[in-house]
Amino acid sequence: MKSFNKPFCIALGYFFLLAGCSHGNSVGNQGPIAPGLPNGATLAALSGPNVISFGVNTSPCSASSSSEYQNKPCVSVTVCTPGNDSQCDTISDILLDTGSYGLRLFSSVLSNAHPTQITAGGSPLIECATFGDGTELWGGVSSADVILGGEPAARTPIQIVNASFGGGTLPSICSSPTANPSEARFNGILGIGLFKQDCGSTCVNNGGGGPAPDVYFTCPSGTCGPVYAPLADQVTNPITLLSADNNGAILELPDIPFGGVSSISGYLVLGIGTRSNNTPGSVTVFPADPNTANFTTKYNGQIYSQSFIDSGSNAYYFPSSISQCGSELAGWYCPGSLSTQTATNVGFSGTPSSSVSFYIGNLSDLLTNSSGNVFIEMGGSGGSTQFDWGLPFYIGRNIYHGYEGGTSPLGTGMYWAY
Amino acid sequence: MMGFLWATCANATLGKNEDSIEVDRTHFHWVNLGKVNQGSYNVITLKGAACTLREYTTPEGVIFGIAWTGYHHPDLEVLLGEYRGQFKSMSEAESKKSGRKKGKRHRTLHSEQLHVEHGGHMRNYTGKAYDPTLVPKDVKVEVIQ
Repeated sequence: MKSFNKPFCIALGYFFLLAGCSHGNSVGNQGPIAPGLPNGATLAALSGPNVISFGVNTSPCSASSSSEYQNKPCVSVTVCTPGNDSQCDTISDILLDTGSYGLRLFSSVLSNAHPTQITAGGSPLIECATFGDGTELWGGVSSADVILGGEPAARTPIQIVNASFGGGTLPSICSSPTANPSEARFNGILGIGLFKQDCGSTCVNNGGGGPAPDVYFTCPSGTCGPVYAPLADQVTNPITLLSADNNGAILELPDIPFGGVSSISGYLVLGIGTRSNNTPGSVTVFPADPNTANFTTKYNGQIYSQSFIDSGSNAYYFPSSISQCGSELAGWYCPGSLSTQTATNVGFSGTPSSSVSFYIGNLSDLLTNSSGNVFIEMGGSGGSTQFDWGLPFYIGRNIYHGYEGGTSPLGTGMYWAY
Repeated sequence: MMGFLWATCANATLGKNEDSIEVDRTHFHWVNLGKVNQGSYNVITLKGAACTLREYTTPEGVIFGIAWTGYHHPDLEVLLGEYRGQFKSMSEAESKKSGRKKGKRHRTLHSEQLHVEHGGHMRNYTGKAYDPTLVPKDVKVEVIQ
């Protein structure tokens, strides 16, 4: 908001670091950490029932599914048969995704837990969940007891991903669903973005008589067709169903040096201002559009009105004239040298407005010269209406996700704050 | 069922005349919100249950691009009409390249005759598809959005 001259401070700080000014913040011998970020190289230890450790390219990511998958944030989640806490599975290698809503697990990773299938009109309720990269997850919607960290179990509709579920001809909109964890490169997705449900009122029958959206389906007689689903049956962000610490979530990651590191670990903290360990620091709150969870990013003279922050995007994705890499890395940015960029993020309805710096490196050089998997300077080309602030934006920051309708010391959701 | 579906849309969309939009509209139960003249091109907006589609046409009525916003991506196999074979082979080629393996969450496919982009996040997906050879010379491809 009033940080118009912040880029100067950041630039100065960077020069001091380059000049060898000792801040004690460097990691190993890889040079100074990325400048201007609040968290430093080591996070203060956090504990409590609402604190969940997560890894970026380290446990609980699976080593095999994470190779050549940079900036992959993973979390573990326990799911149980509804009402039976002796039938549970703790699943690792779940993508921690602030760009979606709800828990999705491949059916093949469950053994002890038996979630209860939800029905619609007597048939199993099924979803085709689509993603920004054009991939699809098909599978039934079931009720499970979901345990996050040390919180009490929350009865939650989740998606049990199974490309052959339902026994019918899949709708053409879901004609090539992801087959298994090895193809997906994760065992599941924990969607903890700003919305509660993954569809919301658009998928609820309002009596208008039109066809249902192509989101929820049933396959009653060999052919799958769209159906409406009440909010209580829709796949839902489990944090919003907790009895406490349900108004939002914070992701905290340490800063890293340019050039990449092999992995980092951070905290997913449930709730905002509900306990001493999630009291907000000094942050700027950006309200998001209640219809889309978007805000606006101004970059390079252009206005991107459908912008968003997304831990499940592994890089910054945005349109730019920065040089792109060669064909094997088509679509990724490869500037001649590390490039400092500046953009301005603007809350829904116009305020606040605050500039922020970010960094884009030469991905081809990074992958060649570094054995690292986590890069703060990784970016690729993106859509013409959106700036996708992916996982690199989380590095070195605490980012607050204020949920739809939730209230906290930072206001009433939905919002991002950092 | 599949044959019927594709047969219904054999005339549809990209590269075809805007008359085919009515076929699409009926097929998808879309509401036509009307056509707006932008000088050297027209935009026809269709609204479905959870997806808004914009079709970009030349003054002669040829559809040179489509763009969408919504709760899901549209059925491109149908909307791309005769380009769907090219789309499938481009998708398959992309999935074999290493670039696809980097956990990329935005997708761009490009050839001389077809450009396709997917992006966005859950409940607000966006994307576009166009044939670069059909875009009128005085129209910037950025208008397709």
